[in-house]
Amino acid sequence: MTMLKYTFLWMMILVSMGFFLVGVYKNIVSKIAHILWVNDPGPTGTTGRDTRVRLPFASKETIFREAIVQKRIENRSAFLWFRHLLIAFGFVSLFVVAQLYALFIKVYPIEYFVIGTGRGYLKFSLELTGLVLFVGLTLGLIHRIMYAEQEKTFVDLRLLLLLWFVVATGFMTEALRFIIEPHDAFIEYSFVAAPVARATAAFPWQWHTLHTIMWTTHAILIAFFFACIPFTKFVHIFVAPFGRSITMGQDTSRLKREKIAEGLL
Amino acid sequence: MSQYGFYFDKEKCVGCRACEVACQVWNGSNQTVKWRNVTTLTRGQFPEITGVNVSMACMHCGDAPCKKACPRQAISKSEETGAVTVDQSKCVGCMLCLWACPFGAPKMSTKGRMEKCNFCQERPMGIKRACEEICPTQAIVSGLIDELANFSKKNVADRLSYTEGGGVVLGHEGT
Amino acid sequence: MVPGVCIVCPWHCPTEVFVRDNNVVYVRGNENAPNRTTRCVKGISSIHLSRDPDRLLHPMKKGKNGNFKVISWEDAFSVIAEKLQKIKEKYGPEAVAYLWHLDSNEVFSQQLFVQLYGTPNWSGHGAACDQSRRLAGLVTYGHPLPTKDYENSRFIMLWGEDPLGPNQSLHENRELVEAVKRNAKLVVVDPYRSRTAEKAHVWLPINPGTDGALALAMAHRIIETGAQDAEFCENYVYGFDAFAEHVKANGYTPQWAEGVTGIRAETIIELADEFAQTKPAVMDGLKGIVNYSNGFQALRAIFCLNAITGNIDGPGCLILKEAGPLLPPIEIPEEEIAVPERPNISTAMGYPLAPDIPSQLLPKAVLEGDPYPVRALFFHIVNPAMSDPNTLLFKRMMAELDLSVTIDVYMSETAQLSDIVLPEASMFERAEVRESLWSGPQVILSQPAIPCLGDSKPLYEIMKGLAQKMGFGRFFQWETWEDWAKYVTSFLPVSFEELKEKGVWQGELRYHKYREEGFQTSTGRAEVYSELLAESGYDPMPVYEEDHRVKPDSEYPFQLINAKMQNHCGTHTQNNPYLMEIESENWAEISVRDARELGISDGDRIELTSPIGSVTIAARVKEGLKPGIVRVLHGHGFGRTMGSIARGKGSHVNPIFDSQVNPVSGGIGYNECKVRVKKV
Repeated sequence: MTMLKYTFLWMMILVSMGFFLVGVYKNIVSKIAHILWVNDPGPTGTTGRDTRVRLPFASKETIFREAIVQKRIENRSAFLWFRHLLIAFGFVSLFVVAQLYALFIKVYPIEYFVIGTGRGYLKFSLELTGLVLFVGLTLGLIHRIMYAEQEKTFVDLRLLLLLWFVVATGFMTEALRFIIEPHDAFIEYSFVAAPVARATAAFPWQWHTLHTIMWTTHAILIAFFFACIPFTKFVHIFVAPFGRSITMGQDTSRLKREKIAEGLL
Repeated sequence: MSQYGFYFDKEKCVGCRACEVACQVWNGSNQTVKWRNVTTLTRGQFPEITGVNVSMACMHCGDAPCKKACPRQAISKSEETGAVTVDQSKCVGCMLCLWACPFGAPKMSTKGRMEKCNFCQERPMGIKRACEEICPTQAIVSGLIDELANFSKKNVADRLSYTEGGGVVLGHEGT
Repeated sequence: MVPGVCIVCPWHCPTEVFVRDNNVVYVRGNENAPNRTTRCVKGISSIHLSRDPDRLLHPMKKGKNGNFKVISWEDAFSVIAEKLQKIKEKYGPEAVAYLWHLDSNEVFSQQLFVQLYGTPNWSGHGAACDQSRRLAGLVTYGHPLPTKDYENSRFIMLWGEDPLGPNQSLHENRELVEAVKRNAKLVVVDPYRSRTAEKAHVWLPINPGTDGALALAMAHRIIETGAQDAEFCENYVYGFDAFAEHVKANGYTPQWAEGVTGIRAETIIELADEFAQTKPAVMDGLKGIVNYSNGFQALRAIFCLNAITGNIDGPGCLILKEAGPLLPPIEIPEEEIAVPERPNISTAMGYPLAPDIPSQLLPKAVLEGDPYPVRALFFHIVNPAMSDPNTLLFKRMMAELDLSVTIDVYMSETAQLSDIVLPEASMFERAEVRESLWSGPQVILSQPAIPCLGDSKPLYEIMKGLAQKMGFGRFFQWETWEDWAKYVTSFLPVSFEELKEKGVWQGELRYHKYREEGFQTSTGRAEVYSELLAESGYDPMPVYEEDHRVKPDSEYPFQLINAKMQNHCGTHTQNNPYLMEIESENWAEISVRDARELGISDGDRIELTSPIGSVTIAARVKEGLKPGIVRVLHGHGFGRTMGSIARGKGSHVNPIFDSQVNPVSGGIGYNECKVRVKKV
């Protein structure tokens, strides 16, 4: 990677992370701190009785049901649950594999992953997880445009489109790279980008320029996406599994009401 | 900003749940899970038993914990009425508001968003809320918080005036 | 907004119905009425009735194979009229009995069946409800339905009555709660800590069926200390001296009562003293008393307590309610009014004073022709297949009839057993002119808010159609309901238009009417010694006896008592999703101590076995219930047909009750039942 690209990439990362961290602090950390403070049972005073409900920490079953299986969504609609599962797990696993890629190839290079077959497996995993995510997003787009009565406006589509383009540009960048580097050692491990590359390589376009543009776009979109997470609906990626695991482990609303009623007894 | 709220008289509540149903009927399909709930607790052993019935929806708190807890700022407090409402188009259903609320007011709807009492927002101020107008014993009263505070004091003074050997002073309230 | 009336429970609160595009969108109480905008939980939930898809929509006739087939109204009327004619020729018009609940339009059926067709057997559901209280009121005050003025009262004692539970008569409930807040003393006599007992200053968990003893002991104390209102007794009470002698001679002392009731003699004495000294005061009893075979005597004693302390018809007392001046809708000339040849069946059965037919004794008339044959039964908003005791006997009876017709909004269990089922329009679709249960004269005019669902008709249209086929069409001449409603309300001092707008007319609540008009008894006074009872061969003064009591023994160690669920009414609210969400099934309650001994926990299924039957039901363990008692909540337990929400929920308990009768009033003794309990 050239010095320019390198600098540009790191600038993007730093700026994006800056926004991301500020957002996480403002919208997640300080909120949860406030909740913990509100729920603090406090001094028992003269009555010798807690004035707040102590919610137990989420059990394994609850975490599994709420965060992994996401049962709540399935109760709403099986199709929605399926789409969302593809997106959720696609995204998480794509992110993990991408970090592994960066970790074992750039930061702490391990031969198996730099030039060994490990790299091929990583490549394959990247494409697989990316594809899962892409299919989920596409299904979501189709549903939202064609079926969802209330959710057809641009306002509702923009976040979905953002993420969709992140993944699409990712695949396209890799496909373009295969066009300009057709002898890449691990090209057989690619089952999405490589076939696309092969299908389009014949066209007489400025592949190098296109590749640079696509790479830049992908980088900007990713940076923008991550910066956006805590300030948009994407924040649910962090707070929803957490909040739901804690509150759905018992009838929280009823417990709190009974606590208040006890005080009036 | 004026602050409206609910006054609840536990001595009048008979735990009949009419308020729960009035809220359901008034809000129709906007409501998928009960916003107002009556809790009945008893304590003691036969025949020395005490109990209480408490009807609770949302307290429309001044410094609402749910509003401060929401990562999407989907919960807002009305300038004119002080009513706290959830904007379902912003809500992501993370349930942090329920975790924060000491009264358990926000609840998960079947649509994946949170819902709760919105103080009968379609009704202009000055007329009764649905739960209030239906309560057979008029245990629920809504109004401006300052006025409700005075109403409450007057109630207590009223009741004490009927007690023989009264002369109980309203202590620290000093009014 | 259309003014209406609520017909879910017998208290008939005036309502406001909000309609948009022929749909009822909201309901609440009528601001112009004493209950104001309030509704009980059943009332607010009743909005579902206006759109319940399970409602009956077409007249139906049962075919040979037992299945129902839709028929036209024309055919239905023809078949019924024809059969009625045949029965009249063969057995006489008294072979037809018409049973109803509390629809005010019942006056149409009265005029058709009693005055034109000629049967004396036209009766409300009093036997299953408050028969003993009605008779006690009639005999003591000359008024069958005294109301209560809690607002001004300083001492309130409720015996076996739980107004704050199922929330009848909302304005009375609000007044009761406010009166208690103003430190009016509330005493509740109930073996269970009911909703009303929760608010009471004194709760007396009495032994079941012994309230009469407590009342008489209190009378004894009052008489012994001379604490009665001597002036009132001298001027307005008949038989006080005889009563005083009677109470003393029979030894109804507080000490004796302690052994019977389980309440300490000191408490009885204290209460009696406080009651006599605190004015104004009110004492009343209802289901918890009338469900026993000695309930009539117990209510007599309670009403006598009011009488000897001068607590009648004044502010803060029992009020002898006045009614508004309403006319019957149909004018029938004197000569056309039929005169029945035989006495009504209650008298023929040996219950001449019964205000309503003891319906639990009808099987005898149908199956054995005793005292005379009954061949046809009409049911309107009653469901004895669910609500009467000894269900098996009822079913046998239904199979034997020549004609059975049910008029209802749902395919109730009784409808399922009938030959012909006629769909009635609900309270949202029909008009009603009725007297309310407010203490003074108050007339409610309820208007149709939405068109009739399906092919259903209001009762007045049904009676009109039937009358035409029966040859009485000339009397039922009106075009719309407003024609007869205008006539019925023509004596009211308010215009019809104003009545339509407000929905309610209220007259002046007059107190102490007896000072000018006397009491409506034969002596013109409040009778603690009843001449009427004496003439009919019953005890003229309240006595305490346990001759007809069914008490627990070694084989059946529990007393079974009945109660009404707070959020259901009778057997017709079980198809309501709002109410079923709160409580979807009924249950039987046992005390904590008994539960521990039997190894029963909350939610277990238990089997209740009486001498005539067994039933399985969910159990709940309650701290507030006196040990030795099983308290069962009635109403649920529908089989196949009532409605999609009601179906299969809860347990029907009535098959284990035998047909017990109060010997004087003919009321059904639902609590005369002993059971044993077993965990399933």
